[in-house]
Amino acid sequence: MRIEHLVFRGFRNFEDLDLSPAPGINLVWGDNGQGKTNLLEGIYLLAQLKSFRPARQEHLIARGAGAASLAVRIRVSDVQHRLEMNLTPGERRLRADGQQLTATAEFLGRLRVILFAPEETTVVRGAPSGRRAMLDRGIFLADSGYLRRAREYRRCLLQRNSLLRSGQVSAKVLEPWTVRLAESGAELRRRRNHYLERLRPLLQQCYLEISGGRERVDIRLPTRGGDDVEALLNELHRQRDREFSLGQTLAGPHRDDVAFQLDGRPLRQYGSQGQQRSFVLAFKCAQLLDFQQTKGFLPVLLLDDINSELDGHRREAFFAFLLANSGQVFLTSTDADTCRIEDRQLTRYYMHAGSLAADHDRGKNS
Amino acid sequence: MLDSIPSFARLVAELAKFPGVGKKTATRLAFSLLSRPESDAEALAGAILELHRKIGFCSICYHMTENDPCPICTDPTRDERLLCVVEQPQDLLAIERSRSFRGRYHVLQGVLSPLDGIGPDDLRFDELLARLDGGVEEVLVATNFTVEGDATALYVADLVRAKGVRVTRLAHGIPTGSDLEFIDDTTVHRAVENRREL
Repeated sequence: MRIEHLVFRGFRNFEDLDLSPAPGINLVWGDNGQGKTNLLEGIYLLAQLKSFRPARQEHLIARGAGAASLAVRIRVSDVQHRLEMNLTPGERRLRADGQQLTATAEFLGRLRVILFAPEETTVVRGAPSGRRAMLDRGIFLADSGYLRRAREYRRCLLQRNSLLRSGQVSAKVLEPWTVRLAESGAELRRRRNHYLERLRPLLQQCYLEISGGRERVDIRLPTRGGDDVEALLNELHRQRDREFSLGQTLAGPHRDDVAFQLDGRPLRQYGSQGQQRSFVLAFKCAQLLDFQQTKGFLPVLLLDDINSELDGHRREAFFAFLLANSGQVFLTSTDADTCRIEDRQLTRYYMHAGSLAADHDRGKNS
Repeated sequence: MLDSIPSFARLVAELAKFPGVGKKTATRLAFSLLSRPESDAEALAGAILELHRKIGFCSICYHMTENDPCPICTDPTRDERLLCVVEQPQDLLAIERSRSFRGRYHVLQGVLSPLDGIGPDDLRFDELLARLDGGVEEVLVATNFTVEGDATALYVADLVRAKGVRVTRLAHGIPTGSDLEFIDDTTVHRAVENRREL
């Protein structure tokens, strides 16, 4: 899958951005605050319908513009599609191939992207919720039924928590929600485990290629008693008294921690900064390979501020991986010569104050 | 513009309260009413008033009816041993349209939803239990296949089983006349799980 043409108007700091990116690696370089990340954000927004930065809809619309419009023409194995999003304060309109869509689910999944942003490395050391979200984003991409299941679980969880908070509830009234939650929760756990089993060998392979190290990495989802309904039901029953006193559900996929491991030990404690970065990057690369194996085509890869993330050696190894395995890539950097890739394999764009110039128009930086 | 004609604005505001009706449609409807003879408006107003004056709920099954008990509850050809539990009168009508069920009904008049403050006391569970003593042998739970509908079904099942009555749940699977390739994977999954002998 690749983006053939994109037009962003009134979005962030873009007045009228018109770009026909190359099918391979696109490097967008320029000083900070010129709009490099905004470009990735716009593409990500069309894929995921939400930003990877905390942003309210009003903030996405350029100052002084009443509305933002984002349009891309994509090509998926010889078929072209047009995706459009129009944002006005308080309203979002979506069109695909000229047809107005009312259900967001119909829009999601048309453009497939994998994002790697510098903040994501902090997920390794941060709260479990960050690791869960990162894993779930991977599964959303690979498993089309997962989003609906996750929403269903979320809904059931909200209902059950609301009941737990209301206080004087008999076990008889709580039980149907416990059973229903356990069914949904076990299904999510099974799907997560299923995905991880598929991803594990790819993760290990990508990690070796990128880090050049000999460590063995792994991702595990330790759940008490396995991932069947009975196990979760038992867990919930055991926690019942505490659940009532705390007013919330204490077991299930919304609490499971995803263990990132290095040679069998927690990556967060035993991994260096470099190892942690390589791990997250390898995780994304594994998603890319998995996607291609299961869907038969490659998603678009978005890499924000990559040179802040990897030291020289790892960067070279990573770009070698990209050249060998990836399809279309957008990467941002403050440095035009961030990677030692031959010019014919790379298209450079210079971003300045929300405008792009093909690099050859400006003359090379080197 | 509408503010200068308060009576018109009032009607638009009332119409816009209905599901699927926005301000635009409400305005269109109001103009349409204005362009018709006054007798049309009177007929509509009469019909609306009559709805509330005449229609109430059946004191046995809680379906909507003009006569209490409702025609279904008084129909002697219906099977007393079979009782179908639904959320709303609309659901009952959907099953009736299918002509697949010849038992009687019980309308819960809602679904369990703690988020909306709806608990067992707000639904017709006590009335359901009272009916089970009258020779009911099977309760078919036909609540919707949503999280709330499922939880309500589990709650009903618990109550009914405690009375020693058999409980069944509406099956779900692949709609008639549809192609397998376009069905979502959950539905296909359940259909495979609940496959039957040919």
